[in-house]
Amino acid sequence: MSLMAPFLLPLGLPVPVTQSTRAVYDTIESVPAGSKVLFCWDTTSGVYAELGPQGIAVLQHLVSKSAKIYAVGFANEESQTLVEMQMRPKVDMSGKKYGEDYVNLGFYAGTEVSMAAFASDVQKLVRKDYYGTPVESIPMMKQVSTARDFSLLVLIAGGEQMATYLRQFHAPYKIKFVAGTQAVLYPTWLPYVSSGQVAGLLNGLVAAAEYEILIRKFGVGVASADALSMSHLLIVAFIALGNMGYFYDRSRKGGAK
Amino acid sequence: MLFPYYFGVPAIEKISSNLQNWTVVLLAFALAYGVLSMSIIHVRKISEKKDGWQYSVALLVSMFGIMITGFIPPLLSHRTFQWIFNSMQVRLSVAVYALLAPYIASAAYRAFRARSLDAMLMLVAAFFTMMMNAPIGGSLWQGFNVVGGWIYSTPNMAVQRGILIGIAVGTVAQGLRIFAGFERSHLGEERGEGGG
Repeated sequence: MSLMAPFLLPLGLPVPVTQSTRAVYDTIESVPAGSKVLFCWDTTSGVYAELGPQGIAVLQHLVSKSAKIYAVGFANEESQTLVEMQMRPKVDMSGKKYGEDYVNLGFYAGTEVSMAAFASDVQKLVRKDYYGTPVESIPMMKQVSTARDFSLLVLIAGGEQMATYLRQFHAPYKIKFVAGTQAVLYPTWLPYVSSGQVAGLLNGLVAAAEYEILIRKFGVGVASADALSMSHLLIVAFIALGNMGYFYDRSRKGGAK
Repeated sequence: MLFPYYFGVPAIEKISSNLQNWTVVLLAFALAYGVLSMSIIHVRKISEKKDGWQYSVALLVSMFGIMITGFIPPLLSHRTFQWIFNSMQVRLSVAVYALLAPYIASAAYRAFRARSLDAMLMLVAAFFTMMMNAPIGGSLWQGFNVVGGWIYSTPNMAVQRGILIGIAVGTVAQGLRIFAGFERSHLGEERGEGGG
């Protein structure tokens, strides 16, 4: 009930924007119009509820910056289907044309091997896009040959993806990197931010709400913020109740002795 | 395939690039082989009427059902495939993931108890990081962000760096063992066989 009620009766609790989210926003904001951006939303449908809003907000920002967006996936078979069927319909792409401003290159099996193949020679690996269109007939594919042609890589994923993408894209080609991940993995990925390899890192669903506030296009992230606050308060309440019960039992047993 | 990372020899880079592309094709076939292998296992289970054979029927029907709709032109844009994917695949996957919520609530009640100094420290750290990650936390008190941020940026960072370095050193050591032939478990041999 505590998670459902805020969706029916929004509480309007404030959502302060953190420095971590602002770093991602500022990096994308500094991308010049027409820059080629690699958009890798590379995870499963199970975590779509947490990472989908991040992807939608970031994709919307990239579209508003008139970046040339190349969506591709290497680690999860259903990732690009999720991008095309769940995320892209929710992004306002008016005035943008598929094949000239945005293209989905599909999924390539092999994780690091496919990343390495893509990064070293895009035209050799990518023969058709997600819809089966030969790349020769996609105008924006004529402008890319290696990972060096991309100004920015946006990774939204979980697990060990950060390390694999850094190894295959950032380390050899020095491509600028921003990322988003689940809240549970945020502490694990933080060292890459402090080392300067990643310019910014989005922290779970709350970062999606913050990002929507920054781009002024409210969606599922902001709608979920109240429920997120209530769920955290509920867990804290359970912890407090558990400890109160524990200490009460302990004092009773101590008194009985 | 390692050579091009360190030496820019165009001929070697070309060979490495070809090998990488061949591997991608092989792995794509591995996905298809996985489907075939799973189908054989479950068909056998159904024909022998083993325990739970009904779930095998459900698995095969749903797997091939969605696969066939994905092959109907215009392929992945077909309305039926989109409906199945959006209304069933995504929703069910998210629901399964959401089953974690009651487990976390139950664990919070039972396990997060200040039984010892270590447990107390973990409890305090979890409290501050949870309140930092909740939008309301920063609004109630800025201290949650300050303390939670310190926990992330100092003790957590130190531990994560140690883990990353340990994993990297272990990976290099394991790689050297495989190159030197001491580790042959990937070839199907048990450790200790073949004089390794």
